[in-house]
Amino acid sequence: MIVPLTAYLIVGAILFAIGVYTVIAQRAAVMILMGIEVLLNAIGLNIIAFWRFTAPTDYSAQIFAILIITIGAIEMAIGLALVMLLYRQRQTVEVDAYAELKR
Amino acid sequence: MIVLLAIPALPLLAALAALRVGRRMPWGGGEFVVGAAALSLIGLMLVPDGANLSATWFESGGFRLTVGLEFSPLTWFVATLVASIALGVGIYSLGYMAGKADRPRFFAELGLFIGAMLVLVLSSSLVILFAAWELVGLASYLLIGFNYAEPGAPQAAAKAFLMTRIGDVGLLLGWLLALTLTGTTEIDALIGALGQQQLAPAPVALMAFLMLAGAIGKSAQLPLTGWLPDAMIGPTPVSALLHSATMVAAGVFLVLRLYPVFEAAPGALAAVFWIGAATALVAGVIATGEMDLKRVLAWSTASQLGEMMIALGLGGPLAASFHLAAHAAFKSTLFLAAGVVQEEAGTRGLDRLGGLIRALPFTGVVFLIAGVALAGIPPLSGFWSEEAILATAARQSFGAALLIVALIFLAGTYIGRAASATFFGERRPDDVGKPAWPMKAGMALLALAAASLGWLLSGRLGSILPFSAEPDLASAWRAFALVAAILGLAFGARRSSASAFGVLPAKLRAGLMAATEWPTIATMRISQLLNVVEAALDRVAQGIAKGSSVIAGTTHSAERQFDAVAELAAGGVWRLAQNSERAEALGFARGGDALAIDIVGIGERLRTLQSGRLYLYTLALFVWAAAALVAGGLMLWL
Repeated sequence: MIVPLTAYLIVGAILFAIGVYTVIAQRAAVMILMGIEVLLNAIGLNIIAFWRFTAPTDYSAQIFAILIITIGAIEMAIGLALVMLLYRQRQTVEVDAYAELKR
Repeated sequence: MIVLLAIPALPLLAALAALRVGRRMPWGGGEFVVGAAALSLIGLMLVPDGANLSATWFESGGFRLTVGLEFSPLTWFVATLVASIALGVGIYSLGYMAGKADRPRFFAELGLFIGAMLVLVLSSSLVILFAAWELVGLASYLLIGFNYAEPGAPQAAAKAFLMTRIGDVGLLLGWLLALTLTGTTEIDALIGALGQQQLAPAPVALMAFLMLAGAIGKSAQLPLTGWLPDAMIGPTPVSALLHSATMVAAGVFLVLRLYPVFEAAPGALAAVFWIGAATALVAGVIATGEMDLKRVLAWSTASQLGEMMIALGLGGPLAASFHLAAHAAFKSTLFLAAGVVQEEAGTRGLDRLGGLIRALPFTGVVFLIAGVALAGIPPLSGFWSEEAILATAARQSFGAALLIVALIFLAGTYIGRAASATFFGERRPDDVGKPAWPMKAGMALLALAAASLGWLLSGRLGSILPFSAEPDLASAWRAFALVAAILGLAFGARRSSASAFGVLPAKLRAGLMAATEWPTIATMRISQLLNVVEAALDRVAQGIAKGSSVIAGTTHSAERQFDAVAELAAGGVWRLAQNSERAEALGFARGGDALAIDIVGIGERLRTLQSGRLYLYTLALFVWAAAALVAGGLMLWL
């Protein structure tokens, strides 16, 4: 049986919603980074789904997906490094504590 | 090269030293001057022939002004003469000035005098020569007026300064002309250009006459003689120096130095002869009637310088330089002896002196040696040099030779008269002191030179100086001159203090002194004439000024009307500006204020958006993105 495109898109939308919720609702910086990762994967799933069902002979979508994975990995590395530095400085990873720009 | 520079620099430095520390020295600074003169003399012996020190001062257009010293046979000869006489006179001054006031000033001025003369003699550039020429004039002015409190001294100094200055203008114009012709101030370049016939004869003749004017002023030739006898008011060592080596010799030296210029201009050479002849004759006659010992010697100097000019004019530079040296030696000796007489006897009036040979035997002998040398009795120096002049004259013409013999007779007369009136006959002043030893030493030195210089230089001078030698003199002329000299001496000695030729010399002197003032008076007349011209120019200028003031008046009124119109326009514009300003203040400013307040309020409200909560920012981002998507979709769909 062939899984229809709509199913992929629904899974992608659910993943995206979960990511948005995680980014908005979570207080820990690490969790926010995880949310961003989920967002990226939702987009990647959508792109692969659209490629598979609309232009299977074109490789551009695959390259796009690889780019997204790469960006996700780099983002994770830099983000975690930032969080670690912040933790060392403040002894906390709660993003609400980082509000200096407001003042 | 350093030695060459040191020769003129030493006396100048000595002058400075005398001025600075002379007060604390035992001889009042005189030791500096004497030492410098001695060192300069030694330096002159050390410097090799042909030494040359030259540099370009500056270049302007095609003109190159140089500075430099040159060591040629002629400059060496005259510089040695200057330094030797300066040494003798300097030693004498040590004794002369002992116990007198203002010694440092005297020796400083003396050092300046000697140094300036050495620069003048050694200079290889007309600029430096002229500058030194003026310095010599300045130093002589200072020294003649040394006893400025004495009545007549400032006047005599000013007279000497101004009269020589008239000649100096000629020299100034002369060297400027040389600069124009050759493009450089180097004397050698000028002489070289003359040798190659590169210069047109007319400007060269003009240049020779201009230079001659300078020489006449400095050497006290007619018509600029008047300052020389008046200069007698200065201290005696100054007179000795001035009359022998430093001041008056400069004129003769100038003609010698620039002899090729004069040779190229026969007219100028003839003028040299005639001026010299007139001066020698007139001054010689006046000297026979003068009643003041120093003034006799002064007139004699003018006469002897005239003889040198005669020799130069007749084409005998060698004889002239010979006589320059011999005259410097015996005339400085005579002056030094006269100075002793004045110091010890308290007067120099011939009618109040007499028989001093017993009171002042040394001075008397020295005076007699120098006097006999002046008269031209062998074997003393005057005989040899006057013989050389006579040989030059005899080669040219019979009349000129006769003139020289007459001059020798006159010289014998006036010096015989002065000697007999001063040293022989009834002893006049009773209380006569003794001269100090430096005075005796100075006199002895110069008397030795006066006695020996003749046979030392005779026949040898031709190999020292680059001038052609004179032919031998016929023995008839020689005997004639000797007889004239002896006759003159005897005649003068017999006349003693009385005038040798009655009232003639006095009349001649009065006439001459009046006549020699004509250049001054003429200058004054010219200046008066210039006054008239100036007044006329003034009137023209006044007329122009008045006319322009009328024009200015009319333009002024026109201007005023323009002004009024402009003021009206300006007023209108100003009022307009004021009104618009008020409108702005009322409208725009108030509106702007309200706007600003509103913006501030909006800013305050917007400020609350910046909560600092990360999730709010993220939410806003997603909401905005969603809204944008919805809007985009709606626009696409519609």
